[in-house]
Amino acid sequence: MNAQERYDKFVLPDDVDKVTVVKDTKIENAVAITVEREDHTIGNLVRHELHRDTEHVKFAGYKVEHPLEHKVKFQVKGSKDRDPIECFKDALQRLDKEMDSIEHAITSKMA
Amino acid sequence: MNQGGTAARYGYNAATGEGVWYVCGECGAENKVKPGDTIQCRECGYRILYKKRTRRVVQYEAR
Amino acid sequence: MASGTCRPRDPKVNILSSTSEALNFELLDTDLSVANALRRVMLSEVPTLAIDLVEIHYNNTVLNDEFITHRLGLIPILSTRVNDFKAWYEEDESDEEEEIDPNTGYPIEREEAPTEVVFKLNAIGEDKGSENDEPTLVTSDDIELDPRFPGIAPIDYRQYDNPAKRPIVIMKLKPGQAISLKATVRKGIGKDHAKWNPCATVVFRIPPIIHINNQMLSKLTEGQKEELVDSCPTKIFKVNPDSKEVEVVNSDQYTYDDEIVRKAELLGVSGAILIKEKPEHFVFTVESTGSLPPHEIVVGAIRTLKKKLRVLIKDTNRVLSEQRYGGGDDRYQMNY
Repeated sequence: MNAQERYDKFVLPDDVDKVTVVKDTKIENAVAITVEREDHTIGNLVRHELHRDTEHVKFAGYKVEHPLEHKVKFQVKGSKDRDPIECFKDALQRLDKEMDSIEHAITSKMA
Repeated sequence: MNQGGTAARYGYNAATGEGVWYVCGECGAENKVKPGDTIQCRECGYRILYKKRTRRVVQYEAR
Repeated sequence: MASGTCRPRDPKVNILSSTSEALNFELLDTDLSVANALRRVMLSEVPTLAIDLVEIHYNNTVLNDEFITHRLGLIPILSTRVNDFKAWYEEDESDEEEEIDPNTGYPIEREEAPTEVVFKLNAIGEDKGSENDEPTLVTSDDIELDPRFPGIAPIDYRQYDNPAKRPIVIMKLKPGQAISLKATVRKGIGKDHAKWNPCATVVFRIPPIIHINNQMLSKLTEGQKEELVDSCPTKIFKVNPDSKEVEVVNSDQYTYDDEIVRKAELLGVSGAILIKEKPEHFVFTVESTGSLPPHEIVVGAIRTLKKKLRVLIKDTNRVLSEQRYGGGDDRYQMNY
């Protein structure tokens, strides 16, 4: 009766932003990026990609704060003069490229 | 989604006072039961009656 | 764009074996998080088709309506054309601008992707004579397809000439019993309900690198060596009968239980056997339910992940632009 709908896990409501960013009040050049309707798949993937960028990312972590709230929260601290949101975007773009090459690798081998 | 509801939903018509058909669990005889009636087969006295399946089209989610 | 030392990886793929039911492949030069993301997406976010709504017109069988409905939902539907369909929560795909009809000046209405396919199922229990009390089987072959979508069918549908492809039994009828229903097929993902999961299994394992120091082991007796080899619960080590050296037989069965490493310690030769995970090497096994060929599950997962990443990139850009152009310097600081 009180169960939420299953689609709540992956359908983004109209009045909700996919990505919201809040500046960290205590840590310099750090932000909390909340991504709606995603889970550990994206959380872990992006966190590890951020960790590769040792030059610009001082800290990166993620958490799913509550199992019934379908969002992941990243904490990213950029190095000096480096916007952590840009770091986040770069990580996403690198992953997007990587997916392209995996798709290319597998389709060329399956043909 | 289709379970639950009032007697009316299951064929009982309060205006006419007509009852609902049940099938006896022992002899299979059909019994019309109205509100307040004892739940007992008129043919054999057996006290377990089954409601007849609705003839209405019903819809279910396959989940 | 990605700057400095950090470039996108370029993973390699080797196909180990491939059938219509299962695919084995190696994914090399990438991170565990990528392998795991792929695995998770294959299980729960690759769209397929499945029966989602059932309208029962008549049913005097021994199975109740809800029970039959649930069974129908679990029948795999051939979903190679799933991308022609639209789930109710999906936006219209095309990014292109609206085309304007030069004659009327109005935008040309684009054909919308279909959302539903309707199957029918009607079956009656046959009377096969007093000698034969075999019940009538109702199978996936008894389903009538939607004439608008002749390609959308349960898996192995009406392959009468192929004895290896047998239909899925839905129920059995006695003479006089009958079922009549309409089933609506929809697009969905495994996250919503497991019936939309195209995978029977998706597993990846990391092959071990096993170092055996036979010089150290040479101070053990033959009996001790046998003891050491037998301590491993999966039989992947053996003592070579000629050289009396410990050898690896089948390393990809190793379960990382560390039993043999501990046994070596107990026998006073700690470090004689060292085992670690091979870095950046993942061996995938993808088994399909039949709704999609296994390689399409993998490609579907990659595309789903890409779609997710692009949505994120787009919205991150939105955040960045609002931050930059949204107002004065005051808001630049606070508008995160």
